Amino acid sequence: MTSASHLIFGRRIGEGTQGEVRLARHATTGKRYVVKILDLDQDSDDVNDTSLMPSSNVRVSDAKRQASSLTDEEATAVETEADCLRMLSHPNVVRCHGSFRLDPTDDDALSRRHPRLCIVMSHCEGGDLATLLARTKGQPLPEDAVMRWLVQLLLALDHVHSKHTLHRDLKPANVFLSKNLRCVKIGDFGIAKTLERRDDLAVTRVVSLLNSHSYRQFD
Amino acid sequence: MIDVVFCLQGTPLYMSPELIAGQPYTYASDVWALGCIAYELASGGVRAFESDSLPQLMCKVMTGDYPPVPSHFSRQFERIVAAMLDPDPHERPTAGALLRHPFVRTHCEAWLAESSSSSPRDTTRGHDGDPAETRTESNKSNEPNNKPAARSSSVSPRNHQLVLPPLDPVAIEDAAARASRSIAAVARKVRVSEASSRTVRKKTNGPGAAAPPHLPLRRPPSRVNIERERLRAVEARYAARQRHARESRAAVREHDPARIERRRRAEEAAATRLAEQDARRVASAEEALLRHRGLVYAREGEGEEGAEEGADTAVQDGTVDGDTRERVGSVAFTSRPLLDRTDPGVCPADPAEDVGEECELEVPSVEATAELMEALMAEARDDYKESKEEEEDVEVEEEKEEEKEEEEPGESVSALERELELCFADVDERIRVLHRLWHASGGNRRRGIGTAPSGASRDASGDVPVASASVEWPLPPLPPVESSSSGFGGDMQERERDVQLERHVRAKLRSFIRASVELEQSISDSRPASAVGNSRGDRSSVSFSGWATAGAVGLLRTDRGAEGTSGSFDSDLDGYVESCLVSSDDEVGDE
Repeated sequence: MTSASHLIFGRRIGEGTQGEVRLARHATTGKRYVVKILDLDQDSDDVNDTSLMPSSNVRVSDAKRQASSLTDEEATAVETEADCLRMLSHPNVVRCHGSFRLDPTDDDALSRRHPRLCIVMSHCEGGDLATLLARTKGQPLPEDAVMRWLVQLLLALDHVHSKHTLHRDLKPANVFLSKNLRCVKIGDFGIAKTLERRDDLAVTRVVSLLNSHSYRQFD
Repeated sequence: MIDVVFCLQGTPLYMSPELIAGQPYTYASDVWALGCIAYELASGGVRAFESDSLPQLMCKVMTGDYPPVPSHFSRQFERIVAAMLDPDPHERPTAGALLRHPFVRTHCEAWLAESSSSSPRDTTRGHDGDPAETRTESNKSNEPNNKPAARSSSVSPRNHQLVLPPLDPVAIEDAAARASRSIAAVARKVRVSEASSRTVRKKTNGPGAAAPPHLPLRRPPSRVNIERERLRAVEARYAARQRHARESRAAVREHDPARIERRRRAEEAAATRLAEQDARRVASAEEALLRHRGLVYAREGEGEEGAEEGADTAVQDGTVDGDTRERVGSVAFTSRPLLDRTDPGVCPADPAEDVGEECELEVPSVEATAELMEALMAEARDDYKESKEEEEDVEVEEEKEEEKEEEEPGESVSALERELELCFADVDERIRVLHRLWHASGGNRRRGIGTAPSGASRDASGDVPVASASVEWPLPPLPPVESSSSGFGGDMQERERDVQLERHVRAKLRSFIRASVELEQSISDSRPASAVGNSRGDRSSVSFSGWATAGAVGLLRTDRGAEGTSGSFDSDLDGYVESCLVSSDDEVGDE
């Protein structure tokens, strides 16, 4: 899962500050994945993409948008971070399957001239928790269901913390559900940070990636 | 700082208090965010901290001010959420610590049991490691993660047990079954709402196939009863919680300083009101006494001697000579502030009529008069007792001089004072004592000694300013100046005498009080001169205020008008008082 040749890109399901999120299918196994595609160079041709943003909580000015494109140096950091996230192997953590650079000539489906960075992750059919809560707005959920999800989130968070990693952007929009809503996963480690040591809690430069994504249920 | 800025861009709704305070992101901050998610799940989409403005939101977050979890959630769940939303990051439990909480653990075991034996319905599971294995690993690696501060959290007391007791498998299974049912219900609800929102829906078949196996579990009727029971218990718990919160709020209010201050002020106001009422009652009683006396004298004038007058007759026959009567007529008291109440304009022209009216209106009683005098003299007595020794010395010297000078009969004034002090209970007795005291002090012979309080006291006309008449003080019917010509002359004279005697005693007592006050002042100041000055300043305004009697002035004026006395009994009295004061001051000064 380290090259674009294994993947067949599908429709775009989300748009973030630095890139987009697309659905992809594995060429041979047919498994569905979610691919985050990050622009590595500054590019102003996506200004009109603001209107395409599906999520209401993504409101970024043009200046911010231009400033937030990744340089090569940052891209390297993102890649290392993605590798780091691959270590997080837990049923309740959206798994990162790999990352690779996407050269402009690689794929016609992504007709961009500049290089891009792709992060391949598991796909959750159940959508995210924010969407679910929006649907059941006003009706408190049963305690057993809440406890089941909370337990899974606690297990996932415990696991993430045990790997010396901070998620730093936990919110319902970053919690994804399986198709039958039984299993929840923590996702979008866009600004997660792995600490060098256990007690290293100093503030460092945040390599900020798609921080305010809205994942949408596929189909 | 970049951290904070970034988070502000993203989701401030889940920012923990320490992040708002500018501290770095820690594991506890993740736990906080998870707490927010748990709350949001429980409330069905209502955020724990939500506000229109960012500062308000930050304030809410910093204080941990979030609305309570819906009532149908158990107290344990509520406590877990509360622990995760602890404003202090060191008090917040870690994820591992929370997982060791028995309540969480039951659910955790249930889920692990289910997931390990789950059908491959969940497409996203299976390619990861065994959950149980992951969990044990995380627990192991969790040990150094737990900060000591986190262990002392509200949940941590139960975390001390590192060797976990085996959980009840039945409970775990029950929890698992209930959880799957609940989630199935949620899924159904979501599907229904989705179906209603979207007219065309393709994938209804997949989830719909998953739901039926759980439906029979919801059927048994006992289940409904159990549910109802549980609901009732939860409601009761919630009510108790609410009551407790109300009580604690009330307790806080009870200790509110502003509230205490208000209550204190109200009490003070009530006390003042009571004091005013008391003063008014005393004043009216005083009036009643005067009126009563006027009535008595009026009766006497008709030829009969009342039983009450028995004591007075002894005084009347000869002990008070004409000479004395000539001197009673001073208007010295008219200058005193309280006597400004006396309004000549209100005085009726015919005293006889008024006396008669008073007879009809108020029947004076002996008890009332006695009570009145008790009230009047009580404080004087108290003051007198306090400064008895010094006063007595002064007085005795004074009186002895007087006795030598005048060779008046009988008893020394100090002895009389004591008698006065002892015999106040009986009105008649008191009147007798007044007479004797008056004679013993020989006030009328002390002419020329001392000075009247002020030049104003020599108000020749004796007119009292009309403007200063007090409305709330119903004046007793005062015999006006012309009363002597109306056939009550003799009675009036007797009456005057009595009134003057009473006034004299009052002046006496006043002098005691004043002297004692001045003594205290001069001792405290150790500046005799200023003390005297103070006392004189006070005297006209303060210390006399309660003592002047309007009726007495009226009588005095009557007398003066009738007899045209040039001498001033009051000036003598004042002179006497003054001399007492001066001597006492001198003594103090010498000391």
